[in-house]
Amino acid sequence: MISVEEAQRRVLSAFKPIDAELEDLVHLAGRIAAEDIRARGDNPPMSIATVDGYAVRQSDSDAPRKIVGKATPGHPYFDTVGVNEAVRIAIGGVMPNGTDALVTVDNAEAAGEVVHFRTTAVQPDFVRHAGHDFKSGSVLVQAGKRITARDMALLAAGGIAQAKVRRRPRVAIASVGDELSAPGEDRRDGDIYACTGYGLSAMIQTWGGAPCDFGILEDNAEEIATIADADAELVVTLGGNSVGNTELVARALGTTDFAMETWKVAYRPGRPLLFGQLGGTPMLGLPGNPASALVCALLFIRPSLDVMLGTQQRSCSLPQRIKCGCQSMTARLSSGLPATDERRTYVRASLVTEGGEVWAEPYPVLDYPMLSVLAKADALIVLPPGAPEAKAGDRVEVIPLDGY
Amino acid sequence: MISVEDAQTRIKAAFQPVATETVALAELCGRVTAEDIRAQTDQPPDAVSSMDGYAVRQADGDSARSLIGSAPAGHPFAGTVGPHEAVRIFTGSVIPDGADGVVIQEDVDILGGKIVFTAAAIRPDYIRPAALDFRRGDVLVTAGHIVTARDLALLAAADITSATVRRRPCVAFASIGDELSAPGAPRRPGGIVASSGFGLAAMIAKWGGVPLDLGILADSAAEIATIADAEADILVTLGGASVGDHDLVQHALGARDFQLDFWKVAMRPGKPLIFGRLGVRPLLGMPGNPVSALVCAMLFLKPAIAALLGLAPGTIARGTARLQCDLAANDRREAYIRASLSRNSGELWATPFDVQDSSMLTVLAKADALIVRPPGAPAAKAGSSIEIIPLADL
Repeated sequence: MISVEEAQRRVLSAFKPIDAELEDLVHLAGRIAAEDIRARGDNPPMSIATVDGYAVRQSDSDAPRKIVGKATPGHPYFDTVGVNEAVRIAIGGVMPNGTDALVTVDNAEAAGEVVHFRTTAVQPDFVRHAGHDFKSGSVLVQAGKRITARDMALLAAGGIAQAKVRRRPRVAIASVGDELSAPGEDRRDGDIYACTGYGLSAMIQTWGGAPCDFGILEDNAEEIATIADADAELVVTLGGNSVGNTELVARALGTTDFAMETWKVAYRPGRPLLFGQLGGTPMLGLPGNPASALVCALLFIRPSLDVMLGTQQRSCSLPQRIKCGCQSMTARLSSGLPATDERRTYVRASLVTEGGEVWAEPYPVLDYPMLSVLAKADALIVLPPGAPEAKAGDRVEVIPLDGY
Repeated sequence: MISVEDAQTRIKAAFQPVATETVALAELCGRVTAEDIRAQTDQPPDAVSSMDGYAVRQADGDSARSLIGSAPAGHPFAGTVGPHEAVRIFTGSVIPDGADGVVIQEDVDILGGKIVFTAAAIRPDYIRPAALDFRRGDVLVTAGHIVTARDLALLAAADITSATVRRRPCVAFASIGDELSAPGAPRRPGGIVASSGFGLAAMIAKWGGVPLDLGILADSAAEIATIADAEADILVTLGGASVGDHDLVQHALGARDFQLDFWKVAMRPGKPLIFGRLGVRPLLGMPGNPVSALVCAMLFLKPAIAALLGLAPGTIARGTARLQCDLAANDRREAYIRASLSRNSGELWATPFDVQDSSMLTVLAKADALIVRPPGAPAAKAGSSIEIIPLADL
């Protein structure tokens, strides 16, 4: 048996960042920047008025100023403002050449072509200077960052029409088992519907990958061997790992370029995990049971995608990484939990916020892969190996499941 | 000028859920259910074993059993287990008729072709009864729920191949201003790049809508009035600042039967927010300043989309955090202060940025949350608990 950390270390070492592709701005949200994205201009590009009023020169005397023109957004005053001259300016208007301060409308009295005000009304701080938000060449989005909706506005303001992002890693998924029928098919006697692949595909998409569902493969060498043809960065099999079947996948693939190990990983809910190389492509064999497969996906597939995408914040549930990421948080237990054995234990739980604190209520531990419980759970409580009995009120680590 | 809460109530009241459509299972993630989805089958459909071993009859006690067959998963045993008989089974195998207990393979000896074990080794609890997880007809996903990845697995197990969900509401938006140009296009003299729309489109998609970019419109009544022709569930204007947001937009749209509901909200950043009806379509007029526009979108457009999707209220996730430093008393406008978040000994701490300039997209982009300061809130001391809106997924 190996620890979760050791299994993660071995799995993650098989991946490296994927190649980049150029993408148009409108398609950048949710993608991972492959290099620092730098502004192509200052923001604002010119100095701009933040109030309605008159653009003036601070150095002028307090003599009345001659109004020589006006400036509104999109309609700048192109000449230079000279001594004792002023330009009527609207919020967002560009400060004309020669001017360096503003007088608000309220503090000015215009009479024909002349405007009067007191020198104390001249305010340089009503000017928003060129590059106040960011300067040309400054880094707007760092390499490895997932581009947010807010970043989209920032990039647009920086004049970015396209950027280099990581290609979406392709993940081929095959459900293995004679007992599986696809939803909508006539179910054969004794069969169940293959379901894990649907959830896994949706998660992979959320995490930035491109899932490719190979459908259901029967427990025989010829069918299973077809996954060797998958054009993908990662091949995932669901099922076919249980005792009696464990060797099947390995045997089925034995004829191709194949190196595979079966690990017992110290966590629950868990089953033996297969990991290896299939013609140079990493392959992960997960349990068919959806509850175990979900935990495996969080532990192994998500961080693998992070490595391929080169994301800044590794989103996995290793305790040492939690400090930086927002993947896990702590909550207080609403009821006690028994001590754990040498395996890290993930317990499905509901979350409630009360009195400013988050409380986790564990669902009763059941052996069956209860999909109904998994679907309604808000979080997984993470109990480290060898954890003592936990009492109500104790603080525990939780991985929120919203978004999955 | 009305309060944020008032504005939100009036906006939500203006929307009815959109029509529904049928969508295939694989495409359901993120969609909003329009009706309860019920299981088409029991799960598991039959009683199954949770272990590898032998299916036996409890009544036979510790007598030796004859092996009469094998039932791997997907290949059920067709006959019945009679007295002193056993069938080889595996995890997930259907329990054969007649059997009511499981003996795991580790507890079994084979003697003279017979299977031998103690009576105590017979475990009825290694049988998962049919419908342990759910029964045919059970509601698996209720109406008005956003379908998750986990729900997809649940629905697949229940033999659901498609479901009725709300159509994605279309949000048409136009950026208004003579000073605007598209990113990458040559900038106009004295002009700036239209940026809010790109953030807005990404948010609309995230909230379950379909963004429709009507592009950049000049500050002219004729151009602005073309918005009235857009086929959408909500119309949004961004900016129109050169003559004053409300004046220009309201003047231009007045000719197209614009009925104003309200147009000023006591908030910062923000304030000049227009809400009304343009013909049959609700219209939200947002500030041109990108920071104000995106904050207004979170506060007003998100609940509008949620109402169109028929989602339950309370869609703006709020949380609490402790203040890292003192905050001055607030004036009568609700303030949304850009802040970073950090975790310290299990608690969330919020640090406001020094610069709260509403023109600065860099500050909004690096913020982890908005601190909500209600109108007239007294000064808050470091360490006190305050309300936040997390920005993580935006």
